[in-house]
Amino acid sequence: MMPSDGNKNRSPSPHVLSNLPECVIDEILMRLPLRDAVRTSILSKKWRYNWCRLPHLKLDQMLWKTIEDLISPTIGFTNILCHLLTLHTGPITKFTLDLPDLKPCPNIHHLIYFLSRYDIQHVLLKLPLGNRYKLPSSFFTCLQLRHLTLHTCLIRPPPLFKGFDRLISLELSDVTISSEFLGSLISHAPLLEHLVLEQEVVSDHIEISAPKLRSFFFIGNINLLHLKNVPLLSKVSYEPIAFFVEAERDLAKIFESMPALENLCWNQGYVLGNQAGQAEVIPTRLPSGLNYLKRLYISWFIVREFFELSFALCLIRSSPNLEEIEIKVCNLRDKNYYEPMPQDAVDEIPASFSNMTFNHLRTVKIHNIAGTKAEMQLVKVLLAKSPALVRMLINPCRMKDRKSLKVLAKITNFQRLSSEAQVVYNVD
Amino acid sequence: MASSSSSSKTGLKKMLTLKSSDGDEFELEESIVIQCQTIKHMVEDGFSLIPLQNVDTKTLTKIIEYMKKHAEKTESNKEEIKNFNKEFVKGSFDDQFELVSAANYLHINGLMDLLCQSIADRINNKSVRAVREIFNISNDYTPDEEEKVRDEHKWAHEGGEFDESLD
Repeated sequence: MMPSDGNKNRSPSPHVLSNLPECVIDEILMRLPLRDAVRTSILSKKWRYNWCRLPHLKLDQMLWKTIEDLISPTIGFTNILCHLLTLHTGPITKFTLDLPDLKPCPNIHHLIYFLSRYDIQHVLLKLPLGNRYKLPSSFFTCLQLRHLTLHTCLIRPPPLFKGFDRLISLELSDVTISSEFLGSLISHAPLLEHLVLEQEVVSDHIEISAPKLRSFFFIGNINLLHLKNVPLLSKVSYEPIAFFVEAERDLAKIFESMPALENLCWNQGYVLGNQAGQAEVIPTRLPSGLNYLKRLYISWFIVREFFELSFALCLIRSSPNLEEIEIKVCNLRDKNYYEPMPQDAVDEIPASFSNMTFNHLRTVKIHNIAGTKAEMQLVKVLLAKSPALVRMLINPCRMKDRKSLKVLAKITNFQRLSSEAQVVYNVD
Repeated sequence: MASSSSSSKTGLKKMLTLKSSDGDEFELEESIVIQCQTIKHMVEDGFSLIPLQNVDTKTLTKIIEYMKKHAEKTESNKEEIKNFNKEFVKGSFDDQFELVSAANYLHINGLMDLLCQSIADRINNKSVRAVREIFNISNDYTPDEEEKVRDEHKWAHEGGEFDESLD
């Protein structure tokens, strides 16, 4: 009955999967979509309950094969869930529920209760938009949680609950949570290394003290954040929805609380220039300097805009040990939306770098260059001040061909401090 | 990686010998071999000749190739390692099963992860018949029993076409 596939070599063959150790079979099953893992129950009697002991479960929209199923999915999902909870045995340490398009949001109270009975360590819930699902009280008894990711839900803990003290990573996106509880959640996680707060999770002032925090991603109003104690924070990605700088100290305050910053990604996407503040209050350099900063990535900033350009230049000048700079320029043509940098300020750009060199800068990438004076000044300065530069990549924005070549010609003539520097200019 | 190896301090590279189940011997630097948790423990207990009764020469050669490449891993050659991994898992199912058994026995976490993911990706969406064939599993259900189990997990068997191919 068994197909013998011509493997009649010496030694009893371990290549029959059923001879693989159970833990290896589990490792393979855990990496299959749940649907395929469950289907293995029909392989043979021995396999019937193999999937039931898997400690990692992932439920996503792949459970339904056809679009029609997604039209009335909640009933289908509830049946599947009921089936899983009845048959599954043993601990579940990692659970993922990823159903952003399921409507209406199914009742998952009993599921959360089920998870809370074992020492669940890793939870990811991505729930449908619309009515926010309120996490049940059983959720707040999962005190072994190490990794928690929540999208689109309502977090209102029982009165005495302070936090999960074993958390290593916390990601909150588009959740409803009080700033007070968010602060408590963070300050009661002394081991926290990775924090993501996205989409207006922060609605009021919040103080962040996280002695082990290494990476922090934030989309929201930066002025509401106060990083009080983050001595190890080295990787930061900010996407300000609002960002006001009124006094010279304001900008310094944002950065002086991150003494170990190595990687900074500043995504200017949402902020329109005139909201941001006065260019005059941007200092030439940050008083404390970003001496450990190695990689700087700035995206969608309007290079002609006075405030944003001053801000970008300030960051660059404050970071003498940069190894890599990447800039994505946004070309807004309508001058109503921004205050252009005055001509004399543009002319002074090279002079503002006069006393510095970027001894470690190896790579520069600038995307969407339109050939404006300010852009050219920046390119010129970086070429002239970087003795170790290996590669400068320039992707111009769409221009009539001749103009693009003119820009290239200009850049080719700029003096390069590094004899190794190669300028790669991509013309479509 | 070498920080956990005491030999790195002396500057002399400490060598170890691995012996396959076919009796072939392979001499390697300790810093490469300690990617295997199993061997690392034996090294800590003072062994320098390590017999591996469960791993034949063919499989061991492949595993050494993996360990050597991954010992070179740095920040800058990620792409190269990725391509190496891609090539590494290209063998037949039988080869993969031999390797995964050995990786499990030797306790090389990275290799386990790589192989299990590759096997899972390859059997994903295969028909029950194809999976039985690939894994050499004999069906011991009676037709009635099989129907019952299928009914029990109806949702998992419904909808879509399953892949009948064996590679």
